[in-house]
Amino acid sequence: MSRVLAAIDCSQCRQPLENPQRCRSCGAFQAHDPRRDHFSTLALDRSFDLDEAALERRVVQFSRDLHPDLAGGAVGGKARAVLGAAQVNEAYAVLRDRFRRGEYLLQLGGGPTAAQDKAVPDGFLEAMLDERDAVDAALAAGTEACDALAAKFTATLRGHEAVLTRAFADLTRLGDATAAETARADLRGRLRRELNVMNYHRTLARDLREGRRDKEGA
Amino acid sequence: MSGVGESGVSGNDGERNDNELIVGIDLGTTNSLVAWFGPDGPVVLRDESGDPIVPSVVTYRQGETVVGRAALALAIEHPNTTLWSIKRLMGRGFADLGPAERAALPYVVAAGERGLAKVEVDGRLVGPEEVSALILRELKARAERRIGRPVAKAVITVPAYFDDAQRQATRLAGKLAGLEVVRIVNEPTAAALAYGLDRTKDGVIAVFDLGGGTFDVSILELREGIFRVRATAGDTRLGGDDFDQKLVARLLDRAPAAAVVDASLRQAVKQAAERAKIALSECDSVQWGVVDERRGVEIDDTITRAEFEALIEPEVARALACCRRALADAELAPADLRAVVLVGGSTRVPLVRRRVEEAFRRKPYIGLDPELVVALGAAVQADILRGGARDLLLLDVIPLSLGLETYGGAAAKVLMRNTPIPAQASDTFTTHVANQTAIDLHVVQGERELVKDCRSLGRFRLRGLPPLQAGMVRVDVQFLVDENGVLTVHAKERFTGIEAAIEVVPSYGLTDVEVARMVDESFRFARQDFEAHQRIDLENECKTMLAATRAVLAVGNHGLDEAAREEIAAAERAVGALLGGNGAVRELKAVYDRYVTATVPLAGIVMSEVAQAAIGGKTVEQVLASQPTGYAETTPKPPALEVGAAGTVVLDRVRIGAKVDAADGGNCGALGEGFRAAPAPRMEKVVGKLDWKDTEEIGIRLFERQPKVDPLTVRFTELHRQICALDGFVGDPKKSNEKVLEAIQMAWLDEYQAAH
Repeated sequence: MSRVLAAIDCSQCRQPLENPQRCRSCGAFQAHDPRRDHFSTLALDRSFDLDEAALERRVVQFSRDLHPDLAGGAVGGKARAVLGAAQVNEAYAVLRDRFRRGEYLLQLGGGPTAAQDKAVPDGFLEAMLDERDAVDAALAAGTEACDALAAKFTATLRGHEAVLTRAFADLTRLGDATAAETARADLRGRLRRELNVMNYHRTLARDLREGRRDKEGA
Repeated sequence: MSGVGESGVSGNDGERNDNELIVGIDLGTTNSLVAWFGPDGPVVLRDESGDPIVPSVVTYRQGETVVGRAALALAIEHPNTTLWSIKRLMGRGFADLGPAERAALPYVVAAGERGLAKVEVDGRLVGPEEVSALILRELKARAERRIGRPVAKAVITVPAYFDDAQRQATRLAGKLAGLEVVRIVNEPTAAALAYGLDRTKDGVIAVFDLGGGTFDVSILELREGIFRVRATAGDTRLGGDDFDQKLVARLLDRAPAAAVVDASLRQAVKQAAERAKIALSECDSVQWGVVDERRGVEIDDTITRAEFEALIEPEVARALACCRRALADAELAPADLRAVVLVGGSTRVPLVRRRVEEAFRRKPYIGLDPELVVALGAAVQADILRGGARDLLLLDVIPLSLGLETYGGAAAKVLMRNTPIPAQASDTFTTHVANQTAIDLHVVQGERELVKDCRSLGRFRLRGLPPLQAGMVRVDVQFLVDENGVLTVHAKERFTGIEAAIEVVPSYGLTDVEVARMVDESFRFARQDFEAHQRIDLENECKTMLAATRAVLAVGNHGLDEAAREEIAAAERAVGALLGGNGAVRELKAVYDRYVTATVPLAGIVMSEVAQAAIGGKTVEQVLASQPTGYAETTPKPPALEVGAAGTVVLDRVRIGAKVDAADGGNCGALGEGFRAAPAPRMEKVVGKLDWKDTEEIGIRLFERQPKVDPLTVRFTELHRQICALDGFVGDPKKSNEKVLEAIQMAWLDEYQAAH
């Protein structure tokens, strides 16, 4: 599933493209490529274990390349810049959030989506009710309790991320040979359940954060 | 987030023109400013007395309108037709305004077409866009006067939290004032741009912008010259006006039974309250009040700073709650920030500064005047759009979430608040009724879950769907928001491929016919205004020329031949015949040009005479002895505060009944400006570089040093030397006498005329 970016040349001046949407040498906008995904939009390899510093750098550089205020005089340049910059922004929003990055990678790998498979481990939903109570209790108790619970949620989310990193790496290693289809489907199912569980924890962490904010704001 | 479909944006696409003039405008609730990006960077354009501010106040009087300081002075006399804080009504419905909010305004707010908030003036309804347009036209005129070129394009700032209708109303106001609004920029973002110019170190900053009527906080990240807005939050109904209102209520509580709280009294109390508030930023205790001479009523109060702070604490707390939300949205802690920047006049209030410092756990940074910084930033953005600066770019965000109405009146968000623009997102929707062949797409804006609590932006219909069971149809809806925040929604049915799209125009706004009428009217006015303006400028120039020439000729013939003398006389008669008339500006320009041509030989002779004149050495010593005076000091100083018993500062009470003259600038100053904090260092050219082309400025500065000079008795070489010694002068020291003469004409014209 990982794919090292093939070097692409500018359709006008034939220089290698750093930004797939616009050539830095001659300023030409490149034709829209329907195969482009959020990773290739930012010239990043398709992987869960992303170099996040590189992601930030790319977004800044590409935003400059595609900024509508600098679109130049070419006919339709402004419209291309708007679309290109919007794609960069959308890609950034998806890839910077590790949960959304995982969802997106799974979708690229053939799913299933959360709507198709809502499975979670036995007893998980009951446990979540307790966790929900813990959020309310921490909010009532005050800063220290909230800090402790937030730290616990952060550790849980880091754990999910570690599992996702390994599972996506395994999926890549399986390659796309027909013989490995059963193994791949099994792995995708595991990824689905991991993401389902992670989503619950993510929501809890967010509710705690917003609950604190509202309390402080009041 | 949509546009009325102006051409401005696309006009920028192909033809970038370095001579294209775009001004930056801060259209504020209480004060407005205009700035441009001059040869030496962004500069706020001041009036002839050095005042950067045009108060956002308009008075309607006998069919004419008065704007700015002059209107402020008329407020007590014409309380019901003097409109201030009009920005609060921009793009809002009558029903959106609570009764308390309406009651705080001394003029009558009424519901216009489709429930839009309008103001009743002399029995007719005026839209807030029209009132704002008058303020914008005043700013436009000032810019044209100061830059000396026509201005047709502007970047206008709005609070980050303005919704689409409010932005639309601002665009429309620009259009009505004859300005193409090439970009609407969020105020805090503009402030960051202004700061970005000299603080290019990467990092995250918070901009805390508390103006007269609105509050915004933005978290921005500067990285490799790109500003990214990480989060914004705010309140469109929170500002310095609210602080004033607390004081107004307090004073009215103390009114004796004989007092009649009418509109004039309200205006007087409001003005007194504003002064008291400003004084309380510097003193611990203030005695203030109003005198109603019509009824012999006096209302007085003494208030300590602590009491004032207790009054406004709830408002300040609201602002700080917004700050916490913005930080949480950006997923940042106060320690992650590199700086907190204060913007807006209300950040001068000490309690505000204290609370900001506590909330962000650091001292706020105040490098630029908080009142000028937004206009300066707008000028920076104007320069970027003109094709000038390219090292600094701005990525703004969507201020409020955008979505679609779904079954049961719920709002499904498609693009979330704080998404950077340009932005796109898509979502898939389906039918809820079997065999449904059309879908109504209702685009809404807002954070609330139900459509009825959000702002409706527009509707369109996708027809010709295949008649399928409910839930089988798949409609992909794509939202695209461009760099101006204009939203285009595109819907496509997956199986049949049928599609529909709209550029969203708020259903709330004005109809095309109404806009056309208003634009037409304003263009008519604009042409008249422009002609009148041109005429006044040209007449003044003519008078100056005539007087100067007459003065020179009165001294002697200067060896001029008969033919040249006769041509001057003939040209003078031609000019005289047209002065004060109301013929076309074109004709006046023609005779003016003839006159200028006719006097060329004389000018040459006089110049060499003057250059050789070697009289009046005494003025040199006087000039050298006089202290150099910076231009900033010519800005009117606030009057000294009178300190009463126990350290309480006693303010003059605002009086009703005394005749107020609109033309008297000093009087206006005393009412509105009396206790403004000391003027900030001038941002204009003056503190920067001065060149020979700035003869007007040179003349002013020379005149300040030596107002009694007789221009014909000063040695040119001496003036030349003085000019080269002026602060910031970078011109060629060997430059000709021509410019020195020009400077003399600028500064000593009256003396010149009086002497001859």
